[in-house]
Amino acid sequence: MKRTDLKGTLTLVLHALKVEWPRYAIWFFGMFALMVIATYANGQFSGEEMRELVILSVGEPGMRMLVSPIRPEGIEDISRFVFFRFSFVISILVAIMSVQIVNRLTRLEEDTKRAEMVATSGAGRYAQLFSALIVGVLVNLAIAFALTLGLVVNGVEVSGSIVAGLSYGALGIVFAGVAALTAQLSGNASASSGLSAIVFLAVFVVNALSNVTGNVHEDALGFESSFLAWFSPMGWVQEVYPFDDRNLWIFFLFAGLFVLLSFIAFFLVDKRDVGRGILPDKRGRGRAPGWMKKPLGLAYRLHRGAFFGWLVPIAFVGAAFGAATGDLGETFEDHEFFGEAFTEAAREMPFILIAVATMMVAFYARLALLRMRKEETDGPLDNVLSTPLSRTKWMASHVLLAVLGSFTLVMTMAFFQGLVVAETSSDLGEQLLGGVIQYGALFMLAGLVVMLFGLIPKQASAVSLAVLLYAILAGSFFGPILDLPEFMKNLSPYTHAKFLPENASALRVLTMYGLGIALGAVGFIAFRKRNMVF
Amino acid sequence: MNAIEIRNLTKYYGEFQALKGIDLDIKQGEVLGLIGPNGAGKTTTVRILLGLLKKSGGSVKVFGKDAWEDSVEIHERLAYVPDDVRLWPKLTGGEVIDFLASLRGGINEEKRAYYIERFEFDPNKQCRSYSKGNRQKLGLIAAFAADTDLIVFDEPTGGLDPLMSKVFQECVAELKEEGKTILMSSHILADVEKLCDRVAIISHGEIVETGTLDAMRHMKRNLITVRTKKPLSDLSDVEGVHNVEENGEALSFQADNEKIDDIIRHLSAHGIQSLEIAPPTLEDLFMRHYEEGYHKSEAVRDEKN
Repeated sequence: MKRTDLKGTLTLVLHALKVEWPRYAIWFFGMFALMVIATYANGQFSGEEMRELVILSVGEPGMRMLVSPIRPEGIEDISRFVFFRFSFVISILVAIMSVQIVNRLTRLEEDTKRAEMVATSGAGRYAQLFSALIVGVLVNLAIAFALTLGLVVNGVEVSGSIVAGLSYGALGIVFAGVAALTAQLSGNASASSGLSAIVFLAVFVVNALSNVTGNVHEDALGFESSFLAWFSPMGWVQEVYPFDDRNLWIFFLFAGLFVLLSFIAFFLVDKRDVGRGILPDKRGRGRAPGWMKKPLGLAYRLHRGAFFGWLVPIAFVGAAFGAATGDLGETFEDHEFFGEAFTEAAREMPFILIAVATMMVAFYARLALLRMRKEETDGPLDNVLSTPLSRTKWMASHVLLAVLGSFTLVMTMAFFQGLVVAETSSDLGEQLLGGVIQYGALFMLAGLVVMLFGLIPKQASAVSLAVLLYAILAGSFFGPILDLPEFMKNLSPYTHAKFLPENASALRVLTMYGLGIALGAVGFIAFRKRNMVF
Repeated sequence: MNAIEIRNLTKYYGEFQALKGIDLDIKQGEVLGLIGPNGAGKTTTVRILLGLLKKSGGSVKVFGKDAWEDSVEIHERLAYVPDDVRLWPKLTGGEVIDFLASLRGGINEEKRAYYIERFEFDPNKQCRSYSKGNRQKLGLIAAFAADTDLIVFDEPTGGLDPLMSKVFQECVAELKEEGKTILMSSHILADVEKLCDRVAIISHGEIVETGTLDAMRHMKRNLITVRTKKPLSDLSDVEGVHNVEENGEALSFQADNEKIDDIIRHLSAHGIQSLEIAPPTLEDLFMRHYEEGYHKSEAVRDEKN
């Protein structure tokens, strides 16, 4: 490495902060608000209620995937209780944030050729990546501070809060490293974030399994993860126990992994050309096969990479969730004394997991629909629409594939979960029906994204992300945990998709599908009437 | 019959008026060059013509049909090559050609092979690995092979090397022979000079001049900078000399091509110390339009009304 390889890093860091600060500010205040609201809302529970909630979740292996370990002596304390319920969400959010930050500053810069201008205007070979990592670390430290602050204003002990905040910051920093690496491996920004998403799913599943296979304390008053937790950075966060053991040495694990990932990423920078991935460009066929010559065929060609990238992991998530809830029968016997309420809750479990999976798939659906916007800004759309293809037909081909794709993903998850669960308790058909009900909420959101694309193309990406995050956080799963007011929960379509098929009304489900079609239709009409804008 | 008829076309981007009442006709079988500097409104005009942008006022007809309402029907008879051809990074060039051709109703295998060979294009590579010039070729091949009545080029030779620019010119000449209508926008005068029957000059959202290049001969003035031993006090009175400016010790002025012989004689009588002759740039043409031609074209418009 030469001394000049890092030249210009500081300038690039300052430039990134200058250009991207609104995003960082939104993340900062968003995470702060989440922590404050979550801590405050959960602080309203009495000690007895906290114990009940812990028992209900911990008693079910499936539910343990979505909570964090807690010990009997800490249950009635808000600092431990809030992370028991929120560790999962905060981890997801910091991971998404970090991947997005680094991806935008590395791969996206290259895709737009800005990186070339930067590189030729005197910046060192490693400066772009190094500055992106520095920004990633800085923002994550700020997030750690936001989380700490959110706890402290609720009266939680300061030093424990700092350690807790830092543990999520450290997880975010690791994902900054992951994104740095995937940016080198992939050919473009969307492939890179797709690869990061798959890494995240793996990290999540390993951690979930470590919770499922962990040791449950007596009377389901908390649990410890199994050794599997050490194979997942999300598990490391759980092992810190900021208010108990305070295992500060785990931060060396985070730091070590971050340094390792970054080191490999820097190593790969030398091995590839600016604007390319490490995986070589293939020499392709010189003729298009018959299916690809139709608009729908081309749309399939453009969507299939992301779709199959999601299909296998989501099938795996379904099977893993299924395996976890498959023990339900045994759980009932162990905890017979909890009575009917518990049986009901246990029966609901697989359906709750379908809802959670549908929330994940919403991110796929959004990106698949925004593919249209990408076609518009990247240029190909001008060429396509100057042929005798109507705007409506073009749009229909993309919307159809985004909807079919996301529907298939939800149903795949439900199917694989059902395959495992069905033999022990629930019927497979009922699982699939659960998928159809939950998909209604996603379908409505999809309609909304289509409408945004038609009406406000330039803002469609940002607004749809905000809407999606709101719908998820105010929806059936997180809404009640966050203890949001009714009207806020009711604004999320997920709130209206009941978990259990027997509780769902056909009218309500059909209404959601109908609303989705209506919103989408507005998008179609608006698109026909508007300018093509870059 | 006119292939394209544009009447009093206006376009606003918010407050900004990009087009201020464009009038333009292109006859069938005609090759028209739309020239103007960057930001003059060339691409905006072209994208409205293609139904990609909505006009703010006026009317735009292609083959007698409305460019916005009937865009799909119009596009059956039209092919377009944008100034920066950007397509799907993962698809190969060959796949893109086939796809676009199919949308236009089928592939003319013969033409496809012919143009791929003419442009020495490798259809097996992924689009992301093509250079700008190669992407430009891809757009041109897809358009040429489409065999449509009207072809619209936006800055077609931007990324092409001189050799390929020549191939492009030959291809356009062939199409002209076949009787195709061609609209070509460019900011390079030389580009349109060889190919176009007529030229329309656009500046700040207005067509400032249209006509054959012959009729515009007066525009083809050279810029002369000269230093002489004896002072050139009477230069402005010489026929064919315009816009004399003092430039330190030197004088610079514009000279009509057909009077160049007389002018040089006049100069050498004063003892030339140094002499530079530069062909007119678009800038010069536009500058002059604002000085003199602008009023003239206003007058012409009034006459028409």
